Amino acid sequence: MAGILLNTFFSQGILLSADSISRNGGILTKISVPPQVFAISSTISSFINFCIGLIPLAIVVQISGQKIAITFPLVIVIGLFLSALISGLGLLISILFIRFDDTRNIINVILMILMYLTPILYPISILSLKMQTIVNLNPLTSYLDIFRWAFSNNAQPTLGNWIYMILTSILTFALGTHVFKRFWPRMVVML
Amino acid sequence: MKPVIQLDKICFSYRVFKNHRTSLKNFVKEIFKGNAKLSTYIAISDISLSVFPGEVIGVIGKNGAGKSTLLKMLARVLPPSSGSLKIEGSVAPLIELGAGFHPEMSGRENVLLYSALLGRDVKEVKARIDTIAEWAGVLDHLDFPIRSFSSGMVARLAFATATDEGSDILLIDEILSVGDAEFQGKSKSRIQSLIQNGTTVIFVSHDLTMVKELCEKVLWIENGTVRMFGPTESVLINYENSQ
Repeated sequence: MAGILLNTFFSQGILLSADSISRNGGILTKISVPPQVFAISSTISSFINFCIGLIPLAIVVQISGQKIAITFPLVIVIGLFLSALISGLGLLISILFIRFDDTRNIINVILMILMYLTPILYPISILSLKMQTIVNLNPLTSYLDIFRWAFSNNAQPTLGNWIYMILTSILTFALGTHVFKRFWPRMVVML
Repeated sequence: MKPVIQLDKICFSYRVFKNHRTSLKNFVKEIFKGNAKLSTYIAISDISLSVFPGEVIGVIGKNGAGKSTLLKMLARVLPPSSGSLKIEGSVAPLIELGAGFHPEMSGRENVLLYSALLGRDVKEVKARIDTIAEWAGVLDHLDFPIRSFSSGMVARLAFATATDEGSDILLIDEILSVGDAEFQGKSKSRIQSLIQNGTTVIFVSHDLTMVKELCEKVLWIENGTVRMFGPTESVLINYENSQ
């Protein structure tokens, strides 16, 4: 359930923020507004959805007899790191969204693959060692482990998980904004 | 006097795929086949222009000559590919009335949203919102969603919002042709009063009588370059003779 919440936030956030710029092309070609605002505000709206989703999750955790850990305010911090990752990826993908019509379908498939590569519906221990390495390379696995630990002490994230989470989020955001800035002057005519 | 707008040899070009493919699947396929070719399309080349404060410049030319592209560059929406562009002061772009309006939001909210997009102080606009709507003649409808407005009402509200606060530079693209005769007269007199207050206006239009009435100088653009720039009378005579 925690995994589903996190994954919904991730895929919905990416699709929304990537789409936001081409959807608002009408405004962007008429009024001078920083386009990044649209992508980031879409991410924020997904983040708010995520925060609301925490409430039913807390209820389910209580009913199923587990305890909400004292560290649970940390999930907001994790949400913020994930927001940075989402905005970064959203900005990167938005360039493709502007240029190519079929990007949405392709991204949907990739998001589906990413979901199966995250231990949401299965425990990671049932996988072969080789698959485990692949799944651990998926940054979302680190986010999920830390999230489960912070929310209900349900996992044991390592220091490596933390470093991986922080690095992927900051680097992706930096990369996304940088690449977007470079490509935007060329893309704006295609809106 | 220092010019408020200074264009120095600006060009605007963009690259398109030769076969106009718009799918990522085909694009990847073409890359593997090795025939993903780009061609450059030049919309504006080598335009230099200085506009001084308070001047009213008309921009004329055929469809597709690059008038709107030029205006969009002045609105800082399109960045020039080369050359330099200097603009001093606040710009109110009236490129399309109603761009930035959200159909589900009420008229009141849309006025605030539009003002925020134009970079204005929302609190100040909030205080004047009734005056804006009254001028536009939509005061009774202000709390209904914009989708229930007629297109003329949307245009009036957008025009009223954009011209409400005195901007230093006003960019107008062919928008005065919308709305009924009453609105056209009203908007024309508002533009004239803005001009009297010292606003610099760049006015794109096909309506030559309007250009003659409002503008001091005219810029004639053809195929992305300046064909002629000078006092209204002489440019218009040449323009009319060429057709």
